Amino acid sequence: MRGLYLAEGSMLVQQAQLQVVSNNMANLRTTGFKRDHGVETSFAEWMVHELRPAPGNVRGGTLRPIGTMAHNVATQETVTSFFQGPLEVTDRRLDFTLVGNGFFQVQGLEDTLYTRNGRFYITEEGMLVTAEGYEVLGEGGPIQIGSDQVDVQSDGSIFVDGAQVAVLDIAVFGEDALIEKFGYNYFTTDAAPDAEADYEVLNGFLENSNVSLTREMTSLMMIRRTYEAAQKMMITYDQILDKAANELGSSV
Amino acid sequence: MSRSFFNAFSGVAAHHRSLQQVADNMANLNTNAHKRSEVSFTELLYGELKEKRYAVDPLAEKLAPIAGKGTHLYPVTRFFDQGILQLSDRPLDLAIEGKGFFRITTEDGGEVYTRRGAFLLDDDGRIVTDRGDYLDTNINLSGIAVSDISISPEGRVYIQEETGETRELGQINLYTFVNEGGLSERSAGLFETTEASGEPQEGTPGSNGFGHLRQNFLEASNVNMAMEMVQLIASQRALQANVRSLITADELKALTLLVRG
Repeated sequence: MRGLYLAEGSMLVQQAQLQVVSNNMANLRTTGFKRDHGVETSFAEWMVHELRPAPGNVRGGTLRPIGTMAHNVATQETVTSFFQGPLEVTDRRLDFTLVGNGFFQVQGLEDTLYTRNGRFYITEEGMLVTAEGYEVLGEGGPIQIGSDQVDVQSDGSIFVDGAQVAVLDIAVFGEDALIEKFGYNYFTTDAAPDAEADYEVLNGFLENSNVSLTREMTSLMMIRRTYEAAQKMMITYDQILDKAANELGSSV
Repeated sequence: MSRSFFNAFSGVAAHHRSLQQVADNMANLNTNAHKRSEVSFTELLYGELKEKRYAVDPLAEKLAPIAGKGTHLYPVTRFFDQGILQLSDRPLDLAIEGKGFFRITTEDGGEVYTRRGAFLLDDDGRIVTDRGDYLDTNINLSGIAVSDISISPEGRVYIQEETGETRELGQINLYTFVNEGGLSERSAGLFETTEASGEPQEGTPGSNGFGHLRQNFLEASNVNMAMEMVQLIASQRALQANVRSLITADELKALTLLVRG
């Protein structure tokens, strides 16, 4: 019976993997999207024994170790790959891109949110906002630009008509910070943005999704065939159990 | 597993819409003062895989495994960057070089804004668009030969008298918005103000923040064929890839059913 559950576990994990891969695929062209990767892991291995009845004795017997095996498989975690996505030229004045580490900070409904999607807009009051209307944060709080004719320097300072109006507040996190996906291209974290700045702000570009079509297609094929292998295993177990239930002990 | 179906479906739907946008831009490759639009994608919320009763290592100290819910489109972004100026040799063809819109009064009295400067004269000597809506100016050109009109880059309209003197007839002003992207298109090339665009600011052409007028020119579409080709390829291939996800999700379902085929 053990193998039947192992086959089931494998199928469930492949279903979870497909969820992750299909989401990557759907976000093939989402600005600032970072691909996820499902990490499969086997459960802890433990010793398996075979029960050998003692000769002539009805009760008792000896356990003979036959080795270790893992008893199931699981999706342990999904890891987000933060590597740089390709840059796309847009020539739009309010499109920003970060090259290197770091995130733009925006004021969400409750907390500060972090994003790599630099497609910003200007409100009628002249505030720099995201598509959701969240205010983009500069070093002195929300940024009022007043005009969309901005010039941007690589350190994130924004100029309108030659006068500096704000400096983008870019959050850079250390490598051990747990950065969580919030949805809608935003990230959240409890960590403090205290790492050293090593980024460059570009204007008129967007960072495209870092999903690689080839890699996801390969994953799809892997998922499909692994699932099929588990399914074949399940069919085999079904046949074995069929014999055990219906043929063993039968007088026919 | 049905989550994968929806993920794939959202991708197919979004990239299909993206293809439509490319088609719309390409169709307007030669439309006077057409401003191209672009779709942008966003992801949706994430859910923990744990909630879906997948096997999760309870001892894991990392973040819980999550899976996204596909993609979605933001509202379309319109690009108001300048189109090139084309010589037309019609005295009432006006191109705006730089920022600004003409204000047009429609038949029902509404005000709309446009950069399409192919104007005509109606029977009463008023400057009108090809739809018969009025350019918002008090200039009346009745009894005047159109070929005698000259319009300065600052929007002043002159007439060359038979005596050789020039007489000023009036002024054409332009209107700008804090957020042009917030304008909504009412009909081909005509834009209306919205809460997002803010109120129009009036100014003379060539003054600070306003473009110049160019008589005898028309502004071409700002659609760039090469850019649209790239968008076309990216949209089409992304759509096909998402169809492949959909097929895989379907195959997994079929395999499951075949266990007891």
